[in-house]
Amino acid sequence: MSALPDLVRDSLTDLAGTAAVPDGIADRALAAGAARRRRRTVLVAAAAVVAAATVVTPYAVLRTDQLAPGAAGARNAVFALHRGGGGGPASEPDPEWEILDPRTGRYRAVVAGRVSAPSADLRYAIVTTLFTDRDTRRIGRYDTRTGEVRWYTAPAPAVSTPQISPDGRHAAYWMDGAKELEGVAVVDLETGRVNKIKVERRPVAAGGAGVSYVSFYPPRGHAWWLDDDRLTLHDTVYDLAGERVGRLPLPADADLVALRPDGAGGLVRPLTPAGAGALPPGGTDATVTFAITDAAGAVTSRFTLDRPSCPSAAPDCPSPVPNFLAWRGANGMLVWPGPGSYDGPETAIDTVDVRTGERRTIHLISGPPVDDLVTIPADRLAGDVRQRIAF
Amino acid sequence: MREPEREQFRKFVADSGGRLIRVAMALTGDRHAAEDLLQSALTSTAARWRHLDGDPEAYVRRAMYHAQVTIWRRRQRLRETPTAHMPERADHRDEIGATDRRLALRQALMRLAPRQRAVLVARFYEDLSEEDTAALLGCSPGTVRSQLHRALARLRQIAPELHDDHLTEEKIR
Repeated sequence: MSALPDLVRDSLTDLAGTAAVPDGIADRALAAGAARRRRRTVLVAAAAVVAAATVVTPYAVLRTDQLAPGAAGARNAVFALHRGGGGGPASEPDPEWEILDPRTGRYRAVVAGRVSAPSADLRYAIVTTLFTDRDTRRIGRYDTRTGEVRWYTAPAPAVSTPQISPDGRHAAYWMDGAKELEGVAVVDLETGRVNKIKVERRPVAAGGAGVSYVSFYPPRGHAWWLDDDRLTLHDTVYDLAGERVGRLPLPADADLVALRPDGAGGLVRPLTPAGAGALPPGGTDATVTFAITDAAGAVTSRFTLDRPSCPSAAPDCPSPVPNFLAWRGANGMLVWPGPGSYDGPETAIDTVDVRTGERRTIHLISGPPVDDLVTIPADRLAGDVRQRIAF
Repeated sequence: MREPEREQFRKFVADSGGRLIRVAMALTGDRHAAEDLLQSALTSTAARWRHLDGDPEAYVRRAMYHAQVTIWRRRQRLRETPTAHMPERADHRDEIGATDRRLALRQALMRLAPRQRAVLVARFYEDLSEEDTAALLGCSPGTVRSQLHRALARLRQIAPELHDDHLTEEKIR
C-alpha cells in the first residue's frame, strides 16, 4: 500500500491524463487577446466617466445618513477599488483598479496588483505589480494627480500591501523571501535607497484537528506609520534607519489591527484568554472579538462581531475575519466582511460602533462585485468633492 | 499582433498545450473548467505576447495557478465534480482496493480549498520544490509547508478510508 503523497500523485496524474487540448484554442485566445487590448485602451480613455458614475450613488448617501453610528457628520469615501471578474474560475483576474483623483472626485483606471491607503494629502499611494509580472519585487509610487507611477525594484516581493508614510516620502512593507530577508523594507521614494529592519519573531504553537505547525509572532503583514519618521511593527517603534526607538503600550498578548488616527490607542484582537481584558482568544468559530485601547494601553471597550459567511462552499473555508477598512469618526469604524458575503447587486460594507459593537450594513457600490477596497475618512477631501463622493 | 507573431503563438500552443491542459485539469478536476482556465491564461498571454520576456509556458502556468488560488475572491461557488462513470473493477482483490482508494481520493481532492489543491498539484503532480512552489503561488516556503500539511490532513479527514498503518507513518519530504 502506498503513502498518501504517492496516492495523491497517482490520482492527479490519472486525472490530468483525461484532458485534451481543445481544437482551435490558440485562435480563440488570439481573438480574445486582441479584444482585451482594445478594451484596455478604451477603459483608460473613459475611466473617469465610468468610475465616477460607479461610486456616487444617491442610494448609498441616503442609507448612510440613517445608519452612521459614529459622531455626527463622520463620513468616508472610496479611495480605490478593484472589481472581480465575476466570471468563475476561468476568468482572468482583472488588473484594473479605479483610483480617486482627489482634486476632481473622479477615478482613473490603473493596472496594478495592490493599492495602498494614500498619503496624508492624498497625493500618493503605493501600487504593486501584478502577480503574473516577471519581476514581482517592484513597487511603485502612484501620483493621484497625474496618474503616473514611479517604479522601484525592492529587495523582495511584499507579503501584503506596502504602506506609504504620511508625507508620501517612504514606503514600508514586510518582505517575502529567504530567511535572511525576514523583516521589513523601508524604501525612500525620492532616492530609491532601502533600509531593512530585521524583526525578531517568536514561535507560537498553532494548528488543530491533529495537525500541528509553528507560527510566528508578530505575524508578517502590517507596518503602521506613526508619523513621517517612525513606524511601528506591532508594539515596537522604529525610526527610518531601523533603530528601535520606543514601544507602544498594548495589552498583553494582543494583536494590533489598526492605530487610532489621533495616536491615542488602537484596535486590537486578543491572542490568548488573558489578553486584552480576558476576551476569548480571537473569538470563536462564529465570532471575532476586538477591543479598543487608549494611549496607555488600557482596554476602554470591547465588542464581538459575527464572522462573515464563507464566500464559497469550500469545506475548508478558513473562517474569514471582518477586515478593518477605516475609522469613521471618533467612535465608529468601517469593516468589510469580504467579497461575496452578501447577495445582491451592490457591494456592501458595515459600520461598527466601537463602544457597543452595533453593526449596520451599507449597500454602497453597484455594478460588478468589488473584491478589494481602500477607504479614507472624507474629511481629508475638499468640500465640493466631499459633497459628491462621501458616504 | 502580426501574422508571424500569430504563427509563433500557435506553435507555442501546439508544443506546450498538452502539458498545460493537464496542469489545468489537475487544478480544476473538471474538463470544461480546465479548458476555460487554459483559454483564459492563453488569452492573457496572447494580449501580452509581444512584451513577454522569458518562458511563455511559465507565464501561462503562473496565470492558471493565480486564477485558481484566487477563486475565493469570486462569487463562484465550488462545485463538487461527480465522476461520470465508475471505473471498471479488475479481478485482483488488491487492485480493487487500490481503485476504491483512488476514487475516494479523487473525490476528496475536489473538495479541498483551491489553494490547498494547487499546492498538492505543484508539489506532487509537477514535482516542484517547496521554493519553486512558493514562487509559483506567490507565498513563502513556510506557507507552502503549512498548506501541504493542512491539505493532507484534510484529505484524511474527508476520506478516512485512506487511513492505514503506512499512512500514519508517512513523512513529508
